[in-house]
Amino acid sequence: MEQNVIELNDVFKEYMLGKTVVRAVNGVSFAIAPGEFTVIAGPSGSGKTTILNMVGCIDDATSGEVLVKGKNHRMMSDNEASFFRNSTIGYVFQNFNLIPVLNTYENIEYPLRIGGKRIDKSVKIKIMNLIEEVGLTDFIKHRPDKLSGGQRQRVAVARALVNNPDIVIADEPTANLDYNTGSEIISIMQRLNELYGTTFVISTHSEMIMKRARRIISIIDGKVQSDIGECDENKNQNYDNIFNESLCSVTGTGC
Amino acid sequence: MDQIKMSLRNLLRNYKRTVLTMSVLVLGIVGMLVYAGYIDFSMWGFREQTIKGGLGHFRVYKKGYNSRGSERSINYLIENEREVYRLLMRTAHIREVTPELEVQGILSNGEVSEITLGRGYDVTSVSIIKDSFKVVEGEFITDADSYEIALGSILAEKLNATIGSYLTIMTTTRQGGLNAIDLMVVGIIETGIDEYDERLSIMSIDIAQMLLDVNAPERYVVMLDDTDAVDSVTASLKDSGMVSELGIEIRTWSELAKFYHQVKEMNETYFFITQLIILVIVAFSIVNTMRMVIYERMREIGTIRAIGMTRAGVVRMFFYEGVWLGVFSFILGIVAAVGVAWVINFFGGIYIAPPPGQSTGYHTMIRPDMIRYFQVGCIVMFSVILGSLIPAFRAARVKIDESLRYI
Repeated sequence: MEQNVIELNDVFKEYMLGKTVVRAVNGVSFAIAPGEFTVIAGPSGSGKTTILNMVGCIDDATSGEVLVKGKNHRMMSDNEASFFRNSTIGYVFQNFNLIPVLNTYENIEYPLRIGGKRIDKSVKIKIMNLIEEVGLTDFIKHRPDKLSGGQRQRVAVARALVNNPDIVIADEPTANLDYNTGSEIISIMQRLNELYGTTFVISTHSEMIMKRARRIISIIDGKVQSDIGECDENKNQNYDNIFNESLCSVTGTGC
Repeated sequence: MDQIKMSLRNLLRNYKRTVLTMSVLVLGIVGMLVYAGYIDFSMWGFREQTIKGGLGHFRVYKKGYNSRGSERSINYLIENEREVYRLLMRTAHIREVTPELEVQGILSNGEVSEITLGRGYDVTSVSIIKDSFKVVEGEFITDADSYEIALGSILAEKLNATIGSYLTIMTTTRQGGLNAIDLMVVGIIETGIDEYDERLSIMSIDIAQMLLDVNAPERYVVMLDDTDAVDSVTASLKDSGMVSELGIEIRTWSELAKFYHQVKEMNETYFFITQLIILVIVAFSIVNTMRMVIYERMREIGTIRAIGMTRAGVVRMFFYEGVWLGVFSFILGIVAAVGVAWVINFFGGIYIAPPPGQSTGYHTMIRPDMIRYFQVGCIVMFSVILGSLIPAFRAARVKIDESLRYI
């Protein structure tokens, strides 16, 4: 049996908001297998981003265990965590977060530079292939300010994949995009997920993404409300019903 | 895209702010270099004035002269003067050698008497000595056998002496007997230093030797063709073995001019304080700019940290930006400083009023030593890098998730 790439065991996360303790994540447990295309769904403030930050090794749990590829971020030094993130995880952010002084090619290449990898011909070819995959061949030399929102997010997706990561974390990747552009981005992610077998974990409250996810972990008030997969044997229901149930709980609409 | 190129692009990202920050640095560099240029030229002038003012590039004495304590200098005359003179004259770089004998005595016009510090020179080769003062009345002594004297202006005034007046100089001989000679005043001179003008009298060495009843000089004053050759010339003389063989000792102008070193040290202290003030201003300015830059780029810092950059990498990124800022500012600062110095020098330099104890002012030019460029460059780079690193260290320590949330 293949080891889970992500495992959360009874994870709590608390913040201090002034003198008040805010519990953002309240005893969350789930596991994600390699190659899954998982959506963490939930309304704003439900704790999705906090969970993604912990999965992405950029934040620590207050208690409980977050294992990424069997490793606990809390046990790593800052440098180890940096190297781990660089080699294992790719990030796609809501606000694209591209480096403004770098063009499309350079932005995609940047994680390799950070990781100290030698940029030889084969690497360059790989970057060009990724650029082609995300449909930005004509925009290689463009800096982010000369790209549309959708194009920027494509660059971000390519950047997230350039290091052959095991996991891509995407925090509300379509929130700043229109419906069609957001749909395109998700299509690209799905295609790359199938092509490279990379595990995608996407947080969203977009119906469009939830409809296209193979697994939805619904988070409400820092707790897992439901964890609905494509082949959920326990529920023994078809995928449409499971999705609708999830959608109702997330959107709060009457079902 | 390597980090060095990237940091250059980051610097040009907000070019207006970069230009403004560089202006502060350039102003600081111009200030430091112009001030350094003023000090260096003044000290160069002071050094040459000290050397030409009678001290010479170096002096040759009988061995033991400088450690004689309270013993009379007249007991340490260079008896083998011909051999010493020949040695000096055949040494490279030596332009002129003048024997000198000091006469301490009393000058009198019959009514008023004044103490004088007389100096006897070989008046046929006193071009060195002539540079040390200005003849304000009459002329300088030209005849070695003549019974003539030139007086400091204040001394002449005290003795009511004019050109053609006769004065009597009294002193004790080597053996302790009293001796006196009448001398005619042929010139009135000014050294620019009141204390000297109040006591100084110049006469031919033959007259001085006659007064002291000796037939040897007390020292040789040596002038070279280049001040920078002092160390090599004195070293070669010492290495030749002739110095010990002839029983003489050498003192360079630098060893003798304590006042020069005190003034230099004082000026260096002023310069250091000025540098420190400019360094603090520059560093604060850079810290302020870099803080703004860093806060504006906080989310970017979070992003690059998330995709794997280490804290040291973040610090390095801002370090490179600081280095670029420092290098560009330094180049521009040098160009601006050279320009400002040229303009000041073109208009005749800066007039400096007579310092305390001196009677004449002077014009100083702005000519910094080459080492100053290096010195200022180091200070600028240090302050810029320090100013960049302080906020960069803080930025690198901000939690990644907080950086990513930063608006």
